[in-house]
Amino acid sequence: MAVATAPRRGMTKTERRNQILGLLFISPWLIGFLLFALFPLLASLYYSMTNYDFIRDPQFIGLTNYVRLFTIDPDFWTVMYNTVYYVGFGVPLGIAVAFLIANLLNSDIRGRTFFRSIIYIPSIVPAVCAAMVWLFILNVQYGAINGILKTMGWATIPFLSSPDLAKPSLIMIYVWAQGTAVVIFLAALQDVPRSLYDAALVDGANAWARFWNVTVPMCTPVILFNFIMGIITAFQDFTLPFVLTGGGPMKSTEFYVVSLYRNAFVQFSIGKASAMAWILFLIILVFSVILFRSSARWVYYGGEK
Amino acid sequence: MNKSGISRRQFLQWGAMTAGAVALAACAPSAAPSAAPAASDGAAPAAAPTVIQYWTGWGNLDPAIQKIIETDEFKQHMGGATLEYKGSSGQEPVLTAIAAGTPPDAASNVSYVNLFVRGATIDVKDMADASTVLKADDILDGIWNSAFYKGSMIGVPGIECFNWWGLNVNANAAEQVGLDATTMPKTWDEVLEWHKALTKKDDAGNLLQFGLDPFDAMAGEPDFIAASFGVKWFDEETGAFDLGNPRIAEGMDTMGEFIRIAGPDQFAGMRQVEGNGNWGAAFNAGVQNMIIEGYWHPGETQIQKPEVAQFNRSGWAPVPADRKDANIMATGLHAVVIFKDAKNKDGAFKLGEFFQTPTALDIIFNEVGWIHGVKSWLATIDKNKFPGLAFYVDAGPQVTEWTIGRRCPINDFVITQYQELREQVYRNLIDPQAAADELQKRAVAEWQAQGLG
Amino acid sequence: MTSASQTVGSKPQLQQHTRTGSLSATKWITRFLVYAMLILLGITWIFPLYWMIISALKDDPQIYTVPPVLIPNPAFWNNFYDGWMRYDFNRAAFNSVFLYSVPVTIFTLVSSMVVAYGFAKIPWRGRDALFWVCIATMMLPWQVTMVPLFIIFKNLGWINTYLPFVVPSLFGSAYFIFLLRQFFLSIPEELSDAARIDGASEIGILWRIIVPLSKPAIAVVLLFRFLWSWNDYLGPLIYINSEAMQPLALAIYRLRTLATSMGTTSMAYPHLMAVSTLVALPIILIFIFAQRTFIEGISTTGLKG
Repeated sequence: MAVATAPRRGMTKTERRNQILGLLFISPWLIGFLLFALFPLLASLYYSMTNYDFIRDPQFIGLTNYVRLFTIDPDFWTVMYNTVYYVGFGVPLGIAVAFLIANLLNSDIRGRTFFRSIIYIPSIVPAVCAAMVWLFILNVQYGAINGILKTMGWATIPFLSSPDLAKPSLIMIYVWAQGTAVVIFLAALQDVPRSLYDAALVDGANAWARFWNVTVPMCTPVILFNFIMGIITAFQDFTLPFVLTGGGPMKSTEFYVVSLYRNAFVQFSIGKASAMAWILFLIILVFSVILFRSSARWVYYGGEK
Repeated sequence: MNKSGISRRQFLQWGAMTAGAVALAACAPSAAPSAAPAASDGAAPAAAPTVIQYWTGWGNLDPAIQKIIETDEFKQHMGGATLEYKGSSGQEPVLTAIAAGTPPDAASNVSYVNLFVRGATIDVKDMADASTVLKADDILDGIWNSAFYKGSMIGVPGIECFNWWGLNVNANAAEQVGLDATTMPKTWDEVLEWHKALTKKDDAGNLLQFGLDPFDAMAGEPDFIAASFGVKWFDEETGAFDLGNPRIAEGMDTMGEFIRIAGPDQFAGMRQVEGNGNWGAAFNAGVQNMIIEGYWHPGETQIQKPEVAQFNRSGWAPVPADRKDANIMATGLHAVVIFKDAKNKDGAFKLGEFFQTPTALDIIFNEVGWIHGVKSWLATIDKNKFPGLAFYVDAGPQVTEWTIGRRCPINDFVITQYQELREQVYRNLIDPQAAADELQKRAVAEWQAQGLG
Repeated sequence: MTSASQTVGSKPQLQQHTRTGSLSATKWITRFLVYAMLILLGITWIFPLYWMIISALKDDPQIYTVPPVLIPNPAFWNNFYDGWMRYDFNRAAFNSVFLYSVPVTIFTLVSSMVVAYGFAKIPWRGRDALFWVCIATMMLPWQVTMVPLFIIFKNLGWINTYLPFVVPSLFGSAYFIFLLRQFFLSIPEELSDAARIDGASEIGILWRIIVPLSKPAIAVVLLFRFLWSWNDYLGPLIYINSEAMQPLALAIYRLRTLATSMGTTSMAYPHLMAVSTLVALPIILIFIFAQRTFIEGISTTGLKG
């Protein structure tokens, strides 16, 4: 980390004043960063090497927690599999659907604002409220969808109560809440210069070709940005699985942060939970590095206007 | 290690000074109301000399507590102290409060042994010895003994506690499907026949009602499957587990068959909405027609759903056919435990004492339907007050195998793992023996990981 | 003039570029398909919210009936009041608004503005390097530090207060520092310089020049910070353990536990849906009235809802 040093000799009076003022202005963030980010991060590294339950004093046990997680822990790999499944299918599907909807919204239509609102609102509804209503839509006995199926005399679908369907159902809800991505994509689509489409039209490209040769390449940076940010945030999803399925059935929706929460605040295995937190940190770090490395463009795309 | 602890604390103090100073200045108005609402809702607590904070996991105790605190006996016994009661607090708020160093003074319906072995609650043996209210020989042996762990006393036994296991049947529903409700089923085979008769689905295969959820209520714990199939799954003297026993595997398969018949997915879906993990709700709703529960079931059902309770019949909890003469029963601990960080330990103990008095016991029996194993008091109650209660009251002498329940310090962990593995069994995803072996492996690993071994 | 993007998303085989006659037919069919898809998607997306409101108006028999009741008759409008009163939601609303959302939102705004000013408007050595660190912390998941932060706040005696949320908000939030800095950069330097010549202090410039010109960015900060704290579930779940202190999100979950426990199940789900509707409503209303701010906030920075 580059440390902003105290003003050196050779600075003008204004420069010195600015140096002090600048540091003063950003000092809340710097202090906050040290207190609420860096220190807890290092503290959790320490705790991850201890056996600690909040009640007795922590005992240092080296890397045992990590070794246990990777080898004998009954849940870790299940949880990891669940999360990777959720992220691996949910994020690409979410991007694809959001991009499709954004393209529909970008057509020459009336009521764009109306449709955009309808698509967006689900993403800001409190997750607890969303969980309550989805429970009542998807439940095998009393849910709306199964009510319709029953009316037709068809077999019901155990969306949330079958270990095979619970994850796909949560992915469905995840896609439903991707309104943010739709709005971002729509903004990106509106920024694609009209002249490119006109040129493609002159070349005789049909709509499909224009979509693949103009729209998609022009939106690639935004798609990539959303993709990586999607992975990072989906890895941390908590409320929906916690409230909706409580990790079940048969631990099929026990996702990473749900498990982390349980280990820390229900089982009080602070050491194990801290080790899980650090593994999560490293996973996110990898994706963040990919994000920063792959292109500097989208980090600044908002400010360059 | 010690050194890092000190520097961490210094760091915290430094952090608290900088952060706290700004915070205090800035958010004093917003934080101020936080102190006020902690007081109890009802009477003005201002003049009260002392306060006792008491939390329980139960949701239906509230009316009884209300009546208890209004009695003269209570006021006299407590010396004017006020009770700050919080019901249905669940396990998590208690644990968080312990972790935060701000637990209530006393609690009931928590993981007693788990908290005790970690030092979160105190040994009350000296207080109990000095007590004139608490009489060891007036409390049923099993209950009294279950209050002890390796010679220390976990809490004041009681508020409620009696016999834990009985099969309860909705006789009306049974007769409607042509079953003879005067003879209760005793073996798993018999219960399964009843289950088949009582489980109804619509044309589309949707579950309308079912017989027995073999994992509901008391039957959901490893103690039950082990006792039913004649296994001691945890030896608290040696710390040895026997969960891989072939009879545990047999039990998971036998009990799983009930769910297979009802349909695992339908069943889980029903559970997500109906009852939501709360015992007995499905029985009261008439959806579940058999349930394995304890002494509280007849009374609670009577108070909450008299139209269902009038048909309640109780008998011995099921056992496999080759053990058909075994009368299994469990008892264990419900206690008032006192926290290490409690502010009013004496008051908390006095509260525990008061729950042993006929005044409190009568109110709880009438308002909630619970009983407590205080011998002199048990002799005074009407065992026919609630249909089915007589079985529990009279069961004691006929029991052939007693279990003292929930003694394992990692009982909660084993329950979670057992829940997952038995679900794999009834979904036919794993061989029952492999599930039992896996359960054994996980329990042993956790035991070592917790540093309890 | 043909809008090129209008055909995107429709089926390629429908595109025949004969440029005469059939063009209008193609255009008509395409437009029809776009509308059809949007209406279908719109219905799908809005259905859960519709179901939430409609279930709130039912009584128990209507809730459990097959086929599902699409429009309850009679409608039980009292459910909104009864559900709200079934549990102490007044208290929870007070906590959500006055103890959590409002202070956190205001403090985040003020602190982030100060820091952003230091990063945007004052030149000093090391500024860019620290700004990069600041951006990097956007990637640090809160879940990684939640265990050590809990221990810190626990040692400070802050459990069961909103200080764990309010105090960190005094130190700025990386997301909003980033957003505000980008906005501040777009404000011409000449304005500040003119004020400096008139003897204004930096705080004075921030307050009198920058703030009035940054209303759109400020609105974004206010909206999103409010939204996040209103919807937050995991944070209060960890820190708030008394019923008197819990915010709305926890209160809903609590009502679910209470309303489905023994003997009290009657009207559980209508009441839960009613309360969920009431808790989601302010967010939806804010969105409807401040739609442009939302959309701009998202499309320029990718803020998650």
